[in-house]
Amino acid sequence: MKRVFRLVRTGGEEATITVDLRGDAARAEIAGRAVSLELLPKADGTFVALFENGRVLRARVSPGRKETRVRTRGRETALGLFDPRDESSVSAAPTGTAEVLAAMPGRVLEVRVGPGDRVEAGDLLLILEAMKMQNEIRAEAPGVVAAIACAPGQAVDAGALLIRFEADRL
Amino acid sequence: MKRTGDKLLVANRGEIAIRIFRACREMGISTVAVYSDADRDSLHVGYADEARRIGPAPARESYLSVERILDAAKRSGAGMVHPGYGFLAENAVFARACRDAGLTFVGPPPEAVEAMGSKTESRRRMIEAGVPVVPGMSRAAAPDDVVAFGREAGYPILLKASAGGGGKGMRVVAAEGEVASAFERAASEAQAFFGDPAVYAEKLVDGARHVEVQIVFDGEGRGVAVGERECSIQRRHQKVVEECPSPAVDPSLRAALGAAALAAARAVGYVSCGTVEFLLDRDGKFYFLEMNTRLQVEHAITEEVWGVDLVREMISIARGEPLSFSAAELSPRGHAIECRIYAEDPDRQFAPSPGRIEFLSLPQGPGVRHDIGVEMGSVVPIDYDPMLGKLIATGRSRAEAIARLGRALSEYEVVGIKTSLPFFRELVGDPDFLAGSFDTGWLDRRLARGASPAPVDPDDDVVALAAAVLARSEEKRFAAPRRGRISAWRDAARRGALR
Repeated sequence: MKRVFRLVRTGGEEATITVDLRGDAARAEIAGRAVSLELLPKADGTFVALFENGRVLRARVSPGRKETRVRTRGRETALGLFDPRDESSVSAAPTGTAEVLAAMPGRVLEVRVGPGDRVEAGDLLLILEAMKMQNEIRAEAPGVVAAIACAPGQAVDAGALLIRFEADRL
Repeated sequence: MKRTGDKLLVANRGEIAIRIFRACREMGISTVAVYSDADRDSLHVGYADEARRIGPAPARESYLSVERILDAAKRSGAGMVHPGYGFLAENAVFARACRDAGLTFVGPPPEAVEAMGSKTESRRRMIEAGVPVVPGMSRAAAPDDVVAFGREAGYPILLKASAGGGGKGMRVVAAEGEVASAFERAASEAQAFFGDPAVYAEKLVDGARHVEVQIVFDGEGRGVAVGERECSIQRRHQKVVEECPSPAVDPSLRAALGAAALAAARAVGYVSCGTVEFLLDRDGKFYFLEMNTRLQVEHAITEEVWGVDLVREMISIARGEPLSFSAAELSPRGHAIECRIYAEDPDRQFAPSPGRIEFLSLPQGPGVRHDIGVEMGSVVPIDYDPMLGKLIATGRSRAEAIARLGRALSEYEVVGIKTSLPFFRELVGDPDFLAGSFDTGWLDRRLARGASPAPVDPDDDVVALAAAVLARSEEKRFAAPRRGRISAWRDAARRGALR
């Protein structure tokens, strides 16, 4: 079975990858260069790849909508590897987030900014109490606050929108 | 039920409960676990001989409830109670309540806990005992007193909770203008963690290391200092990596630190294992910081280097037995380093990452020890400290210990939640870490710089491997349509297992 993937490198340049899979044997062509390997699935969900030149890699590959994550020897790398047929895949790496989301369920203790405020990276935005800790949520990048979506005392779920920035100012 | 000294209840959870149960099993003592509703399925419960439910998830109604823990001890007939660390470990009321209930508290006498529990009181006692202390206020203060102290001592100063420890309720104040807001935050945290908003100030000793001495005293007043631990690598005053011995301590400094630690413990009539913490400045001068009247998280590195079982020693001393070793019998061997593995996301300012551990694979091989409180399938609850456990690497030299630590970290895999493992993998290659050159502010400065390297594209082999796995999973999906919603990991594991 032959499959085609699109690779977006960190610099933004794109390449096409074809994979020909026959049983455990795979032959990939990346921008014209061929790589042959045998792919052995393990019970823990990882794969051992035996390359033609003798190299061995054991990896856990987790596909995602925005990127494919590959973990080898404890190190994780994000790959811009997409199926071009998948309409929902995102073409470029996101440049920053325009929203501050709660990373965990908790309670908002204080909100230190208001709509229209200009913040620098590292500025304190709000304090979220979770797991018995007061967590200072700081700006990851400079921006202008568009809206505050939470209030002091409010309990929030993981992933809840807390603050929205004016996206074009990021 | 009849009380027996051959049955011990651990008033704690997670890795430390299991650590204590292990010592008990080796000593032929039967074990009682306690658990909240959030922990019924936790690893420590299944390890024990008996388990008693003590209440709902919130710690206040379970692990911090003296009444419920004493009730569990009574129902199970346990004659001994070990508090572990955290929760009720440094609570004199609990230690006294155990004694009053006829239970053997595996720890120091309540009077010693009390004396060291108040940072201001302990400072006073240390000055009397001739143990050097950091210049600071000798009683809890109002913001105005802190301003006055700051003018006298000069900034930066450090606000600390009088009842505190472990960095909770602690704030660095760089200038007078920050006193009011820092005081408010420190007092509010002190109230939340220790039920006491009292706060005082100390001069911040710049560029200092945190070096602590492990001491053990038996009931006859025989005390031994079991070397020091280097705990300077801290994030916001919380220890992250500890090592034994300290790269900054030579034998003569070790002897001086040990003597001061023994004097400190003796001054409060200490019995059991305890830790005397010191600040060590650049000139090799040291100051008493505080005493932890309990077993420390990082006790394992001392055990590895000094060849003693501190938990076993605590239990036998609590039973009235003498110390099983003398200072002359001890000699350190090699070097040990501990990483505290937390359910925290290093990419999101170490935000807690509770959830289910879908897959767990622990490193093995020479010089690797795990004290861990979770297993595959464990759910890390949001209600408690998110430490999963500790990885301890040991070698003949510091360099060998670091090499083993790096190798062990490359084998360590946790899937399902974010952990601090990626942070440690980066840390073991840091030139300052390798040189042993750091102070208590080093890690925070390093994190503020945003030292993470820019992402690099992996080589073509990795891309080919990833693409082949994607192609393969697509092929399988067409061959066998999935039923219901299964997590991708479990799905992958199941597919692998079925082959």
